[in-house]
Amino acid sequence: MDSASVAAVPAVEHRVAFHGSGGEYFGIWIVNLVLTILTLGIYSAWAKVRRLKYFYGQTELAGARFDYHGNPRAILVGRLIGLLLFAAYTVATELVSWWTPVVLVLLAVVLPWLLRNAIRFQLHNSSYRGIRFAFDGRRAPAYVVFLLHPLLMLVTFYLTAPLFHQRVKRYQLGNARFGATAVQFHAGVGQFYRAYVPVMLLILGLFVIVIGTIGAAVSGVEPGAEPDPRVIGGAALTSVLVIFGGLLVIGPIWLVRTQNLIWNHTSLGEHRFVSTLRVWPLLWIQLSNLVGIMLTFGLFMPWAAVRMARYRAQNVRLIAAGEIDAFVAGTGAEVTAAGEETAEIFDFDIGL
Amino acid sequence: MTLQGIYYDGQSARAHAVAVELCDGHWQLHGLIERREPVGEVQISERLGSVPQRLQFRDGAYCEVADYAGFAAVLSAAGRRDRSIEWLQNSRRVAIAAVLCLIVAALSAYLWGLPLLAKLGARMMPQRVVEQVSSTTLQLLDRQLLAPSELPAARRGRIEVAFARLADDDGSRLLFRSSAHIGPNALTLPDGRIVLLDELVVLAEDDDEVLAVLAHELGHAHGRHGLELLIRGALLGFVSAWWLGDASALLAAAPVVLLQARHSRELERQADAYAVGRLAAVGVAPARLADVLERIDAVERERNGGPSAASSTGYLDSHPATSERIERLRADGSP
Repeated sequence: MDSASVAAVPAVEHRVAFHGSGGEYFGIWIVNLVLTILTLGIYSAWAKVRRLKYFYGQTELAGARFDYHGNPRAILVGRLIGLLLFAAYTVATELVSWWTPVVLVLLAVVLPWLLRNAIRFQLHNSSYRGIRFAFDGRRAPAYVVFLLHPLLMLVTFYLTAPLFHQRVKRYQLGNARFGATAVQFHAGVGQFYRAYVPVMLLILGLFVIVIGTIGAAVSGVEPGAEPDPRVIGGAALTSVLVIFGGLLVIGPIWLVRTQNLIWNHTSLGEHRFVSTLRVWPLLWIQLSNLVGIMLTFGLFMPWAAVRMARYRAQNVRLIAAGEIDAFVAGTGAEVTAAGEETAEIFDFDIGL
Repeated sequence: MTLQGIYYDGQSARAHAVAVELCDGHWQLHGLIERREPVGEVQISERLGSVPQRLQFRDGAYCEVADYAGFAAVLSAAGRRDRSIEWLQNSRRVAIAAVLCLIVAALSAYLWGLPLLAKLGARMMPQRVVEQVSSTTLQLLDRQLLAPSELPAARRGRIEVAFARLADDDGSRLLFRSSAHIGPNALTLPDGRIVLLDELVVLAEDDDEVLAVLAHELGHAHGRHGLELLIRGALLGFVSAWWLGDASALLAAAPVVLLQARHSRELERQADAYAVGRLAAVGVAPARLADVLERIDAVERERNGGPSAASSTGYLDSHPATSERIERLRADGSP
């Protein structure tokens, strides 16, 4: 609170550490899985709380662990609402009728609101040293961020994706608090575009290769003649493999560049963060995880999740400008889980 | 026994090192903070692997104990047993048993559960949905792969009459189309409408061979195989996406393709068996189906440039092991 007095203290660097292990998490994961199947999915809400409690609880910063407090009942209700909306969306787009636009408009109105609630639920239910995080983002900007910007991306062929990403992070982090201390986010749109340049060039390169492959196969066909299905099929298969392989490489590059940018421009009161993710180690972890998962029909997943969490945690540091002890709690209000779960079922990843 | 703990008051982030003790039915904290609470007033956080456990007080304060083994010892000395979920999550034997159960469950769900669910679902699907799906499919096919039939009206009329007798007025309908892309074949839509392609009529030696193929397609229509395949595909896709979708979307798509192939083979066999029965009723030898299958197969091979690898292994092909089907049909025809 009295920031003037703590500003004099020299900066101290705190590394984030992850203490979990794959074998230990496997026990939790497999029980979650079996109970989820036995209860036809109902247990998945409790499973989610246990999974997050484990991952938060094994994440340490400056001698203290994080904690997750989500209420499984609230999460279950959220999941049911999400399922309902997803069903409405599927039916409306599969069986096109007069009420299809009605459903789509309804979803457009509801989703930004749910996404805002999702951010709020996640932050409100995260704590560190007994102090809750919180989110003060208002409703109106949520519609700009989660409705206008996605529409803008569609009409600009995703050229405004970096702008969208910046707006999401600005909304999410810029409105977050840790107790009474506000989080600041100061990465600008220009910086996001710079981070995206190699990613966008690589995606463009993928497009060129795929179009070239298919173009070469099609142009080999004499005019008027039947195309040879083997040549066309070969080109299609090559394209799929190129896209798959390309995305495997582009994914880590995107993650490293954006995560580093985001953390390096996020601060909490006087304190700031440094992120040092690198492409090659991340690529290695992802590829070996994928191979492990394929070879074990999925049983490797707990180890894969732990390896990823460990690498990501190890590469974030807090540069504390003063005593971490100085944070105090703010006011907290109960929030519903509907938003968070719906966001998950519609496949939005807005992870911090 | 005294344990090292760190106390947080829930109001500030300040860490207070304390000594933790359980005596006389009270939790006692000594050191920078002195606090004494009856056991009933203090909640103990769930044991999750080696995550430090917490003593949670009613006012939002908590005390974290990093020494989880020592903490467990104190608790068991005080007579507190693990909750069942804690035992399940932390037992190696439970984990191994769960893996074995999962493997058995996955195999039986695939071998028995999936066909049963698909069959039930196909039977319970509302007729209106079935018709809409079929019409959408037919529109798509008409736009991209099919052209109007060019058969003489007289020939079409003959086939229609014979088909009506074959179908025994069970409400099945026959549509005529042509398609250079698909070649000699007939398709069955989920609602039971059968699309007969000119190329097949041309390839067949006589109307009996056309009827033989139509009898096979009637088998698909009668068993609602199209719907069954649709439902199976959707279920497999759902399970696969749930199971592997986090790891990779493409990884999740592969098993669907592989696992579907086995079911379609099974459905071909069922349709053949149905065809044998219907053909006998109208006085056509089942061997005629074998004859026309052989001819279709020959044309397919030529189009694909020699025998394809898939049909020689008979595993990945969805119209597989044609030779196996031909043999069975000939055996049926000559009792």
